[in-house]
Amino acid sequence: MNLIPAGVLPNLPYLTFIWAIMLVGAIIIAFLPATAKNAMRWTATAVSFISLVLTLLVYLAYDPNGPTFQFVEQANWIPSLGISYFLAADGIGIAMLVLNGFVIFTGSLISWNIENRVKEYFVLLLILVIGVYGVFMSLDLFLFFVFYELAVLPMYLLIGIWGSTRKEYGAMKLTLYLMVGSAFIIVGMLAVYFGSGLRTFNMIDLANFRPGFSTRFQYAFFMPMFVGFAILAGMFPFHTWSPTGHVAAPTAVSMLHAGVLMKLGAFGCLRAAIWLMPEGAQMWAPVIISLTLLNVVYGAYIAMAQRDFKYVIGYSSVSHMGLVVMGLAALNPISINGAVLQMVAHGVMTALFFAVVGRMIYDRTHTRQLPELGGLAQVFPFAAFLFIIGGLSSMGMPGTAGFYAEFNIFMGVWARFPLVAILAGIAIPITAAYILRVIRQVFFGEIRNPEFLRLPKLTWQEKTAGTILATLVLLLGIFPDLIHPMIDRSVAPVVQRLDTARQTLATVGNPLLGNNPSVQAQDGQ
Amino acid sequence: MDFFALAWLIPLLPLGAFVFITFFSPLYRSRIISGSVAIVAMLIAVVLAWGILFQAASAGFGAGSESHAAPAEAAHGEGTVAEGAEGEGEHGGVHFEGFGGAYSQSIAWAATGTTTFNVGYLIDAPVALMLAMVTLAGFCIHLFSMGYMAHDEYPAGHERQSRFFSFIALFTASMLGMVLADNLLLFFICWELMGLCSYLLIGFWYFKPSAYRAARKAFITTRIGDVFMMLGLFYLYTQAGSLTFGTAEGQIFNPALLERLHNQTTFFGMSAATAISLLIFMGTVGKSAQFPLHVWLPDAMEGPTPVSALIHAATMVAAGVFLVARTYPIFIESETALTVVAAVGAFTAIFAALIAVAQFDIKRILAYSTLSQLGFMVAALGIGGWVAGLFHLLTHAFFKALLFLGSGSVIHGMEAAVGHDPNKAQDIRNMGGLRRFMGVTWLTYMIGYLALAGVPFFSGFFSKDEIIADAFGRGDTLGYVVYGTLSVASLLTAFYMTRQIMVVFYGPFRGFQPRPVDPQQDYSEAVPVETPAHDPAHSPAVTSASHGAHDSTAKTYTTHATTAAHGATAHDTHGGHGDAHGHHEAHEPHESPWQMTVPLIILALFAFGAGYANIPEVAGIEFPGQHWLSHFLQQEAAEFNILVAGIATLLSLAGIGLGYAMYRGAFARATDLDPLEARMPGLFRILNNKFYIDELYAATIGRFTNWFGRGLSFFDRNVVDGTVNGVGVGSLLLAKINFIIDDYVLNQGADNLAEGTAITGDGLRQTTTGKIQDYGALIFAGVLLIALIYLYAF
Repeated sequence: MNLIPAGVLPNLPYLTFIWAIMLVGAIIIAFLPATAKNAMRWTATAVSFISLVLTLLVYLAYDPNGPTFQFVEQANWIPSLGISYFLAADGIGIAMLVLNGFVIFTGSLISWNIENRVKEYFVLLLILVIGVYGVFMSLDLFLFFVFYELAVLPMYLLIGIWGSTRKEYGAMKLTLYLMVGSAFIIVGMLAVYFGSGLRTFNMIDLANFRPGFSTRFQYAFFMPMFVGFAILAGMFPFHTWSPTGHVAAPTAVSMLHAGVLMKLGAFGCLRAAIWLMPEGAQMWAPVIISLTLLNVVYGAYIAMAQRDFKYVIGYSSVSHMGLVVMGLAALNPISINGAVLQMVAHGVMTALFFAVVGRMIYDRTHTRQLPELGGLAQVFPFAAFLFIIGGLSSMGMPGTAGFYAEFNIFMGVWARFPLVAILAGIAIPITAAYILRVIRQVFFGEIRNPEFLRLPKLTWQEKTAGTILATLVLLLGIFPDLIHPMIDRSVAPVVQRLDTARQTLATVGNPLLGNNPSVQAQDGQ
Repeated sequence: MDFFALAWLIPLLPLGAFVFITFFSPLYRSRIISGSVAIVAMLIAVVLAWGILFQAASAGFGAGSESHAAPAEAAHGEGTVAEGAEGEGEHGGVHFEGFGGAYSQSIAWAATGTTTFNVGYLIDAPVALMLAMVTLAGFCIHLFSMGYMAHDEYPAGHERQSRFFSFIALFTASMLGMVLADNLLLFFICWELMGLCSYLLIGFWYFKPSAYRAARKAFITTRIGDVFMMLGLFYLYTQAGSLTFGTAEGQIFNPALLERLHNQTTFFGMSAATAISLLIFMGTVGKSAQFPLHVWLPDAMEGPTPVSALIHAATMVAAGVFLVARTYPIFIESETALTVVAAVGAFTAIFAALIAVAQFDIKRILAYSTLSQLGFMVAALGIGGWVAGLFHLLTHAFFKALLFLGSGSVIHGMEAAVGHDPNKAQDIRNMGGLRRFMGVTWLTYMIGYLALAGVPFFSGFFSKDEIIADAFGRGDTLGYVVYGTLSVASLLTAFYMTRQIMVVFYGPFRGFQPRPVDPQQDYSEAVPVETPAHDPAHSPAVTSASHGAHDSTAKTYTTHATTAAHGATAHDTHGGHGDAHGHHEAHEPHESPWQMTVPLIILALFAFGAGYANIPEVAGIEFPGQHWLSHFLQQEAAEFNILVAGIATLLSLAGIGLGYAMYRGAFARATDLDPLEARMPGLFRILNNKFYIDELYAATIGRFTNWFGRGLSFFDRNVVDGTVNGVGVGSLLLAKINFIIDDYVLNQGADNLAEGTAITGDGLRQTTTGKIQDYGALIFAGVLLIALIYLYAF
């Protein structure tokens, strides 16, 4: 935001610090005696807080008028293969880093009640977060992939050991899906590596080399790369891992998972697929956007038919992440800006949802069946308040983060695919319907179980975490420009590449449309 | 004092009241303080708004005005495009000089990928008028609430009253923000916030299932309209590049842009102007409750009565009409859109008037009357009567707010006799003769009634007459159709209002022997559910449980704690439990406290006098302030047609006479049949059931949505997931075959070597991780295969 002028911060590798502090935390926890549970919790919270502060520093120091990538750190890693340790942050990455910082900090607070294998839990959680942080700052495709895998794999254990409801199934399904994604990504990665002829994984080089990837190459390899990441973003028909996984995961993992991990997928789509292969993106956009339309509407309808509280949130994530990918696939500045804003908005909102549903409610009532809940606003008025704030954002109410994000996505999609925008509009009243229904059934109405009145009150950790997330939802809703300029700064170059690609395609032709330039030209009008 | 420069305070004052009441617990704890804060905020807003109106009327909009409009508009006025000029000529001579002058201020709020959205305000003539109306009506409603919400609904504390004040303050703030908005995005933001507030307020008594359902219905129904409106905004944005009001380059009323929209053809052969107008108009249909999205408004009567006055007279429904008035330059570009607007408005006017004839709930009669009157306004806009539409919007806001508050006062008084059961306290058949008990309420209600019925010299007469005259004056088929429809609707209006007055205020008081609640007429349960109905709150078991609790708790409900369960029993009473309220029956209905009567008197003054803002010229006699409104809005004054006005007056009087004749001696007892029902039972039943539209929606859209959701859920579980699980099983099978081949064919020679790792291997094979790796390898192989195919294919 350029609030810290250049030169004030000492020149240090801040990005490395961000993930390294988590590693330090993990090591400390690993060496603590198994009985020192509180020490572990405090350590995890403390390192998360430090990393959050570091991300905020980076956010404040980023200059939206400067170069796209700032805080560059580059060192050779495996020079013979063209692999380097190359970190840098752009506006999109910083938005994600800050989001991740908030989610892991609140997630650590929310994890306070874990009693079983505390040490392993926090170590895995922190390793997961290292991976997430790393992805958002890597500019070397190989490093990017390494971090990506680091983020995905601990999830299996976290869900499998500390989860609930059908946790083995959920963990297995999630891991398998994500491995399918990884396989696709590896194919794309290797194709890019060999196809460019540069023998480098440096993404800036890959994006800018001349003459660039051929149209046919992009046609062939855009999809593996995109789909590989889109699986993690929950794109139809590869979405079913996500509700099952969310339901099975322990609360903090759900928060990270829905809040940040799914954004990792969308981020990958943008960074590795759309940025590197803009012509491919242009060619495949109609296909992708049709699939995301299914996500949006289909997810909303299914959410409405659920009886399990977490499934409602899980499917709402499918619907909202569909909006993110839809925004990306409309390939214009407004929609991509909207998509990134929605990534942040949904991340905060859904973390808040899971904090309320998983920790504040399920861990106390031990049921998530909507018909068994009711009247909880009397028991936990604050939880009701938090959930309502999240719900309003989910419905896209002005004054919450969701509004401006959705507005931009729809506006951008309308500009390119009006019909898709119209059909996706169906999801808006449906979303309102299921959110209102859930709020009503869980928090208002009659208390169905008198035992609920005797449930323990919210702890300070829960209140703190909830307050932070709810404040963010409102803050981003009232002042979207807190993050928008830097996002816009980083979306602009991508859009420029996309526009060039579109012009190229107009002359070369789109193989998807029978490789006929004239057909493409008509389509363009 | 420059009131224009202070205009930003007007929405921020009630907004500040909302924030203070909500987040500062000392305020929140006290009903008196929280209410006072809201009222004082509104009072200052009234002063500012009227200051703006006087400043605008006396001094115009200052130097700022020229910069906006005049030069650009001049080119358009000359009619560079033939159709455009003709189009304007046909619409009763409406001329838009960028809304006359305007004063605007704005600051940047948020960027998009291409432009920046501002937050700012713009004051021009219609805005100044709306501000004056909304603040004044809002102030009266706030003050009234102080008295109305004071009664013993919430014995255990007064927090809920504070919440009520915070909600209505937010609501008023949103409305004022919307009126002042200088661009459509801010307009839309406030519009949506208003929708949210309507949800909160209609569902304020959330422990009543009917109130909750009504709130949800209102929210979702209006939101359907909002989606279309939003699409309209997107369309407009892609064409104009911004959403700012104004005629300058890059603003939405830029003449060159409007001309382009007029000429550009889009879906289904519509012009872009038609498409945009109709999409935006859908927002109006939702918010102003026009057919077919009208279903939410009558149910919204479940909210506390001041809310009804606020939502259904002064703010939310007015917002829809104001939207069309605000974006009128776009509508003018499309003949088709205006025809649709006129048709929807006229149809709603007569449709709702018919339903109102056969309702028994005092608030529902007013609700349908509101629908009908909104239809008048929308029709007026559709036929080009821009001034007439706005004029009626203003006068209607005053007299309808008066009527709603008056009905609140009536209900408040009735509750002394029949208890806090809306099914009894709001049923006009249980009333009668209230004139004797509630003098001020009666007198003010009569003024509202005469204004609504269109009796000469009351405000409603002038504004309605102007609409009808505009329709007649068009001289084409559409004009005559609208004229005829509205004339019948105004006859019906006079009739149903006379019916209500006769039954409520005259005749014998019947409240001591109220009707048993007829399950058919039990509004709290008869409302069909439009979205999935598996809300267990309505399951018979729960309902009966709450009834069981009712008997033991209802008598002491003034002291018990406000748990939802108890609250529900206190309010959601059903037939057979009426005797629980026995301790009420000793009281006669009483007049309301001053906090309620003073607002009635203020509103009554305006309900009578607001019409004089635009009195026509009759027989060449000059009045001071004649056509003031038209001049202020910089439009041509409508011509007065003595024939049309005479016919309209006769129709009103006929309606009143008919109502008087029919209901003079009706309802000797509360259980009597309605005279109309006695004569035409079949028709009465249809009207009483509102043409069964709710049932139709529940059976079609509601059921479809429900079914579709479940169907997709089934599909997701079984087909999508089934495929995945099937692939999983298949892979497992493949893996086993693989293992057999591996073990028996390839591994023979290495048996000895493998023995050392056999134990570990066995262990691993048992675990899930082992399987994952197997799967992973297989999947990877598969993907590589696909990649190879790719490489050779391209």
